[in-house]
This record gives sequence, C-alpha cells and structure tokens, in this order.
Amino acid sequence: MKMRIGNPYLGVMILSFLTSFCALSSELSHLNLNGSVAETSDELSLRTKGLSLTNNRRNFVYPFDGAQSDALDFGVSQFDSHGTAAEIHFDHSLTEVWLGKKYKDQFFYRVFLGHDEIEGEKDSSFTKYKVEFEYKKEDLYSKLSYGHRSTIFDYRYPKAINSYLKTHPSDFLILWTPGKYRAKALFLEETLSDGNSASYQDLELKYNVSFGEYWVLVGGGLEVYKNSKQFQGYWTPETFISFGPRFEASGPFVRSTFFSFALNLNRFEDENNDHGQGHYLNVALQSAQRNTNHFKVGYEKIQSTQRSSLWSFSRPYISYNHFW
Amino acid sequence: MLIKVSIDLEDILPKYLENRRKEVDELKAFLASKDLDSLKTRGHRLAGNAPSYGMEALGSLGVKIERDVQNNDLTNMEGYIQEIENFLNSVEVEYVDEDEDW
Repeated sequence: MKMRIGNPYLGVMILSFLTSFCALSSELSHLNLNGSVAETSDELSLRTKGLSLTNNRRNFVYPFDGAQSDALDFGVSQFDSHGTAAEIHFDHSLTEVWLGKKYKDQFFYRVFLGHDEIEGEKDSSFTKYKVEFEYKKEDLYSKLSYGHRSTIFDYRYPKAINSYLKTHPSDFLILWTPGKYRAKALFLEETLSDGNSASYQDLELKYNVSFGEYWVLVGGGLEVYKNSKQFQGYWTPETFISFGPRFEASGPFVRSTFFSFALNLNRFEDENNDHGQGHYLNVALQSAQRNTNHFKVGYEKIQSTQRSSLWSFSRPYISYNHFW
Repeated sequence: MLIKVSIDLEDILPKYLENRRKEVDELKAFLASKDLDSLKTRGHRLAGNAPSYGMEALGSLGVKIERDVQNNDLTNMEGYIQEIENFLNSVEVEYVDEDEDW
C-alpha cells in the first residue's frame, strides 16, 4: 500500500491532540484501534484498519460511567482500506477531525471534516464533511445528520471506485423505549454524484425479555430501499423490501468477558417480484466491560439465497479501546 | 450484438471484457477436467459482476452455469460456455450518458 497524503500529517495531529487531551479532557480520553477483513462470494475483498482519538469518550445513547452533563469534544481519526471489487484493485484513506458540544445531557452536536482519497483506476480526493444533532429526553432519542462522503463502504461497486461515486446523505433516526419495548425508525434520503437518488427506511420493534444480567430483545423489522434511476455500475433496485424476525442478546460470558449476538432473518423481494431469503448475523466477544480498557473480536455474516443462488458476505473484525 | 453501457464504465469495461475472454479457455478446461467447484465459482462471480458492467446477458449465463453445476447437470454446460464465447466475440458497446433516456 502506498503512502497517501493524509498519513504524513497524522503523527503531528496525534501528538498535538495527546498534548491537548491532558488540558481539555473533562472525561476519560479514548483511543480506538480497529481492523477488519470483508469478503463476498463474488470476489469482493476489503481490508481496513483504523485509529481514532477523542478527548472525551462519548456515547450519547448509552453514556459511559462518569459522563459529564456538558462537555466540549474533539477528535481525530485515520482509516485506511485496501480492496478488490469487480476486478479493480484500490486503496482508500480517510483522515478526519471533529468537534462536538454536549449540553445538559439533552443536546449533542458534532461537526466532521475530512480528507477522503482513493488510488486505483483513477487517483482522486475530495473534502468529506458531516454535521449531526442528537437529542435525548427520557425514553426518546433522535439524531439528524447531513453530509458529503464517498460510497466505498456502501459497496456500490465498481462505480464507487472507477467514478469515485459520492453521496449527500440526510438521515433521521428515532429510538423510543417505552417500558419493555424498543422502537427504532431510520429514514435516509440521498443524492448521488451521478444524478441518481436513493431512499432507505428501517423500521424495527423489539420487546425486552431480559433476565438477570442478560439483555435479550426479540421482535421484527422492515427495510425498504429505493432508487429513482436504475443505473449500471452498482446495485440500483427500483424497490427492494426485506422483512423478518430480529433477535439481540448480550451479557457476561466466562470470567470477565462479555458476549453480544444479533440475528436478523429476512425474506425479501424486489420490483420484479423476485423473492429470496437470507440472514444477518453479528457475534462478538469482549475482554472486559465497556467502561474499562478492552479488546473486542467479532464476526459479521450476511447470506442470501435467490433463484437457488447463494451469496454471502463475511467480515471478521477486531478492536482495542483504551481509556485514560 | 450492440449493447448500451454507461459512459461512466468506459475506462474499465474493456479490461473486464478482456478478462472474460481469457476466462473462456479456463471454463472449457474446468469442464473437461470435471472441476465442478471452479466452474460453479466462476459462474457465481460472472452472475455477480457482469450486471454491474451492463452485461445482463453474460450474468444470466453465469446464473445458469452455477445453477446447473449445483444440480449436477452438465448437459448444457458446453453450450453455455459457447454462448459466452459468441457473446464476447460479437459484442459491440455504445457508451451512453445514463442521465439521458435510453
């Protein structure tokens, strides 16, 4: 993998951030290192590695221990990928900085600015950005975001690589947890750089049947994905609908380790009434609870069968989270 | 055979077609040696890749190869490979702007 523009600046940024953390952290600082290898049965492969640093560890939905009511957050990340898709080899890198502000445990906003670069059939780069607003009150959480980014991780190949397809996504997420229910609604609208536009909705309702220290949720979900134009160069169904039962579980495993498990079973159909079925699976094991330094290893799998043809996607991943 | 393909794929389609032409001899060799796993894998990849390049006809042949190998039915396999070869020998590509009606 060749050295890219983003990398030479990373060392300087890390040093300046590490110095700043000591003075400006009101909560524990957070270092995350991660890597994954994704492969599909039709020859896509994508190896990624990333590093991110933030002055205050932050999860607005499920706060870490010791989270302050008001805080000023900032961070930096570097994400590198090397892949082959539709018989094209490419390298991709994203260097990003962000600034966030949290108010009274109810509002949180972040502004991201990044340098996104690809090397492959064509070398190109652009400025990535995103703004997001989060609001939380009692059992209601919502998040609104808008940005400009590449489509490398949407698997829109080969156009994501050879034409460096980009998107302006706006999305709105609502999580509502009345009593033992958890309802989720995600609405995404996007305008793509090739003139296409797409929408995606994910609706989910789960019921909490947790016992003891074990968190167990069962329910169902519906996804709808639409494209205004049926372009070549990536998957652009006019209407794709997927629905089925969903399960989630997490809790203590052996010794001080913790597990998490998610399974979605799907039946799907497109505008041609072409039916199929599949599943999404994500299992992970964590070396300690999330508030302390920990390693995490996991495995993600998607499998679908349509017209007796089996397609699969697999992605083992690993991460390390350090707090100080 | 004239096929309309997005102008956005103009820089990568020639190489894709060249790779498919090279693959025809491999498919014939896999069939001759009854290497069904390799035949099935190539059929699956063709079914996945070809439509992204605007080559639905090639993709359909990939689907047929994968399906028939799965069913242990090699009766039409030689014919499918011949159809792929004929397609690749006769295909002419017209690059068009997808934003215009076509």
